[in-house]
Amino acid sequence: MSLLAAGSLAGVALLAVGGLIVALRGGLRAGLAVQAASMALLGAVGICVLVGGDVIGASFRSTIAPAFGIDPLSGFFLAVLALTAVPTLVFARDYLPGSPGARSVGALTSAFLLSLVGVLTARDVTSFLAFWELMTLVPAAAILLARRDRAVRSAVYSYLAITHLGGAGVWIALIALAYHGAIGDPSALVAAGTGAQTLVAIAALIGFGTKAGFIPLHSWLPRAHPVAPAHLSALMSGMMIKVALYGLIRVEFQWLGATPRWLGLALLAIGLVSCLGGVLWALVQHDLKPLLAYHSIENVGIIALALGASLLFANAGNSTWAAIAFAAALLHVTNHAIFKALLFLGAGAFERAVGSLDLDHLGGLLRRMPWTGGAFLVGSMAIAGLPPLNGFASEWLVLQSLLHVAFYRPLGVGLSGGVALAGLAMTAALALLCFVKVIGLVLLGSPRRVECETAVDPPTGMRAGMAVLAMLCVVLGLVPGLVLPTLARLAPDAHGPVLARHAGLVLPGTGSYLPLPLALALAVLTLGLIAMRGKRRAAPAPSWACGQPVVAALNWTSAGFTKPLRLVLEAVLRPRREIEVVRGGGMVQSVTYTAHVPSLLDASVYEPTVRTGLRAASFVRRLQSGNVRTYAAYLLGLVIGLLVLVHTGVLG
Amino acid sequence: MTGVLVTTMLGLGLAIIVVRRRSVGIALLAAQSLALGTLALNLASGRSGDFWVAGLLLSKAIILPVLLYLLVGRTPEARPVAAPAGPMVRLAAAGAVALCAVVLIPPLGLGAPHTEHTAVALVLVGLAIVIARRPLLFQVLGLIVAENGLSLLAVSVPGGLSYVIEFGALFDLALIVTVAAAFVQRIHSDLGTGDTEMLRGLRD
Amino acid sequence: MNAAAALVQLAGVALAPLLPGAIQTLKARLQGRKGPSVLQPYRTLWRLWHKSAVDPGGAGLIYRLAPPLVAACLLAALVIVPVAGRAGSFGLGNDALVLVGVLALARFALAAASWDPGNGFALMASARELMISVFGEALLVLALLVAALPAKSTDLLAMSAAAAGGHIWSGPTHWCGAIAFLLVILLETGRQPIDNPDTHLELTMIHEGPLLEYAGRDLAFLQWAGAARHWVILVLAAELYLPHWGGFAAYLCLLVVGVAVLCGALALVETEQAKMRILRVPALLGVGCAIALAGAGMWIGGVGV
Repeated sequence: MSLLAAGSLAGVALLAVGGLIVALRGGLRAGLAVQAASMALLGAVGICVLVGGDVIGASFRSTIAPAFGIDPLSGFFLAVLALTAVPTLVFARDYLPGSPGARSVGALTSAFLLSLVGVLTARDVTSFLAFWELMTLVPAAAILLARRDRAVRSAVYSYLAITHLGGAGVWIALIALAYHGAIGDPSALVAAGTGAQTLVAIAALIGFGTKAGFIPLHSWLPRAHPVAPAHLSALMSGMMIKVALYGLIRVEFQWLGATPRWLGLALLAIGLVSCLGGVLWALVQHDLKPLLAYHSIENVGIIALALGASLLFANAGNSTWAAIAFAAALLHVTNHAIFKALLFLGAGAFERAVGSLDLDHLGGLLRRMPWTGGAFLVGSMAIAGLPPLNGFASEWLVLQSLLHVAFYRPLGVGLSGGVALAGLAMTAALALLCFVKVIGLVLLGSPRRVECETAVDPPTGMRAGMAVLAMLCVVLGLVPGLVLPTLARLAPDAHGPVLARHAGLVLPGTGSYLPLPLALALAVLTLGLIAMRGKRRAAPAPSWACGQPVVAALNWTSAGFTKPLRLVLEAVLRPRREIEVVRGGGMVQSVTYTAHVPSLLDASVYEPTVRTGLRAASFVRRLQSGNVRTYAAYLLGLVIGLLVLVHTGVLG
Repeated sequence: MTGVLVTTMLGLGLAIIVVRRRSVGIALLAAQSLALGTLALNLASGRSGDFWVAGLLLSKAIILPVLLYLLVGRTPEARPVAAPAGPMVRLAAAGAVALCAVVLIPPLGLGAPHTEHTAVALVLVGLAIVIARRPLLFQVLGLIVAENGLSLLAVSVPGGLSYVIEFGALFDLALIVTVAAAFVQRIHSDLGTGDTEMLRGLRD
Repeated sequence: MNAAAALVQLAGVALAPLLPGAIQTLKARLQGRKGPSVLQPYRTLWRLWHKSAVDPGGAGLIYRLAPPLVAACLLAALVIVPVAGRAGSFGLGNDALVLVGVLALARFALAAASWDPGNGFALMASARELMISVFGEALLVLALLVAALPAKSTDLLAMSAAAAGGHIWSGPTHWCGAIAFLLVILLETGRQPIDNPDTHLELTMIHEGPLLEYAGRDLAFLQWAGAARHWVILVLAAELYLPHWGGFAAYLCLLVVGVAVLCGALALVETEQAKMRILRVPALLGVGCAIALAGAGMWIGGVGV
């Protein structure tokens, strides 16, 4: 057995051991440390496989016997998982002790990581589906162990229901592939005909798309991710939806055997709707965690845009740009995992320190919690897509891919590229708006709660986890070109090296993005200008409020900052507001104001569907009489009916 | 000898559908199981496993009815439970089901065709007992009759089926009957009757 | 020649304030006033340089860091935009989308800094500016797409080379792109009808708002950054949409003429137009987006290529 295979087996074993240690009394911190070490080992194995390019373990097969192996794409996702999970587990070492159900949640974290590793390394249908289901169920259990109130139960219920309904697509796609013997062998599906290919493509899109969070199948994400413990939210948002995208890439890109144009356009459309919808509904949230969950939907949309562009390039025969767009998607997978994990961990730290994450009642935390605040600031700038951080690098790549799609005939493809390009630019600007608001309300300004004034930085472990992720954001932003050629080699039709290796992003047909010189220039210029500014003689003055004294009631709220956008997009967002004025004795005694932006899809799609489903279920319920004799009668009828069918030769 | 025993089993199974009293039903079941045991002994072809199976079937013929009889003693019914249809109707329906089985089953090739058909008919008659009789105990009786049919099929295969299967099936049956007996007792003590129609109230 | 181009780019640092000054003077003359001299912005910068700054209550690190960062971003943008088809090799590349990103960073820094004092009109203005930028970014990127179509690249050098000669004006695409880019100029320079640069009414400010909280050298940095924005966008417009012939020197002269013409056009538009309702601006920008998309569609469809 090669060193890498031994290493991966050791890593998996250690992960299981870590979970068991957590279950022992007093072993929480040690167990989490062991889990972190095992994830680091698995990540190292993944990177070696990715860079080396050869496969360890079994290859894909259409039989039912369990088989496991790691190939470069699995290695890449394992590396991303490790990059996200190791700092998260270090964070959890100081975050979990003291929270309710800590040991069970810690043990279930290990089970969750094991199921993620299992999905990534599964090489046959049975193990993939088994670990897929486990991956869905374990976080639900962990969430319920930590919190039991009604809202959480309803959120977990909708999470399980929607994921399973949509996840039927995964089952259909994989079983159809296994039936045709096409797992790992794209030519087999080509031989099966376009009907089979279309069925597999659509089923996979629906199934994996539900788990990834594409709109309109996303409704579970903003319900489930916020109620999980912070480190589990980080893992779910960072990795679980990426593993769904891994499955999508395997089926649509590697096993489909064709690069249909309709699939590329569908991915572009879904990506665009998810981007814009995700960020628009994030803007109207007033609590930090649902806001971050909606941003996950937006970023998954960006990845879908890149994947769609890659398919369209492959369809048009431009393999260089197909590889570049594919690499852009994978780079955004990495970047989003890192900065989303960082943001969720920061939110968890804030919640621990202050007690609530209501955006209108935070403030001034950058000064009082400098480490957490600084890391959160870096994460926010990264997700807003600002140079020279990693979010801008992958967004720049996706923008370039879409722009180059717009150069193509036929007209439909080119125009879709142009519309998608405009949509992505809008999304970036909306994300900027949203995160300026978040930074301002959480980190800057004056504290609006008593707990904010006395907040302090969390213990070292939590700080270390967040600092490592923030540094990764910076490093990946400064040298994205070092990883891009390796990712481009993972593209389906890439034969041999596609891109040369530079520190920055030097691509044909662009003016090159060189983040390292840019960052250096910006830093040097800023420092130079600060020096030029000299000793800043500043007179303290109250901020200008037309001369009236500045009181806390004048503070801006989340709804106030997004009001211009809400007014402009009224037709899309349909905000509702109620103003109640109580008068007494000829004077106004009190004014109550409630504003609410309903989730459009919830009202127009989900509720009618659920109502119809429940009505149909209560109709079918009449069959369930509760009487054992009726059931036996059904059984007898079925047996006799089948016998008649066999006898008359209808059934073979 | 074999043919007579087999037909007797079928007749006894049909009779269970008709009788009114539970104790009579148990007696009929005991007779059927005894007939099955005797048949097994008759067909035993000299392997020790076959004799074990025959012995076990005979002991089943004794133990289970005794258990059920004790249960009947502990669960008295205040009023006779009304049947969904008259005894002649029930008999006719059960006979029709048995006839369907005989006609429709393709030849399985496991043993003598007469035995085969009877065995399958017994299984379906067992199901019919479950459907046609309301008292709880008859559901258990129906299950045992169906199992008798399966055992008949297994025993009549020339060369004998692996006795592991037989033992396993018998063990399952013993378990099920024990659990069912416990439930019957509990339901009787809670509801005062073993009428399955009354059990519908438990659903909601 | 690259050294000369580098010199001209760096000269933009000093020459940028001329542009808003020229526009103000022209506007005044058009409106029948005498108006300030063209060098007035330099006097303003000099005056601000010698005044003390102000510390509004609650101002922290971000507030103090923002003006130098904004000025640094605009300096980087100055270097990314080529002049007369050439650029000095400063190592930052010449990509159009990188330029968009750097301008976004400047916008972010100023908007975040307006949250530091925590209240007031800076925030109101930032909210509006960010809302308008949502549609403005889409418009800017689409206009750059139309300009990138002949060159099939987003390298600004290639794009300006593809605009050489007059042949791209024969088809409708570049006319559509020019209209869209005019709207981009109005947006980025903050001129009417989108924004009023002369207003001092807090309730009507958009670009000017965050500047309200600054004084002294910080404000000098921000005023200079505003002027640099004029330079960047006007030079870019002249580069991409001006037909040019001949070598570097001829192109440079044509560029100067083009920028002057654009300044005159801006002064004219400001005089003729009143400021739009803020909530109507996205509709205007949306029309620009539609025109740019139509132009791109016509190019892809092969009309008049």
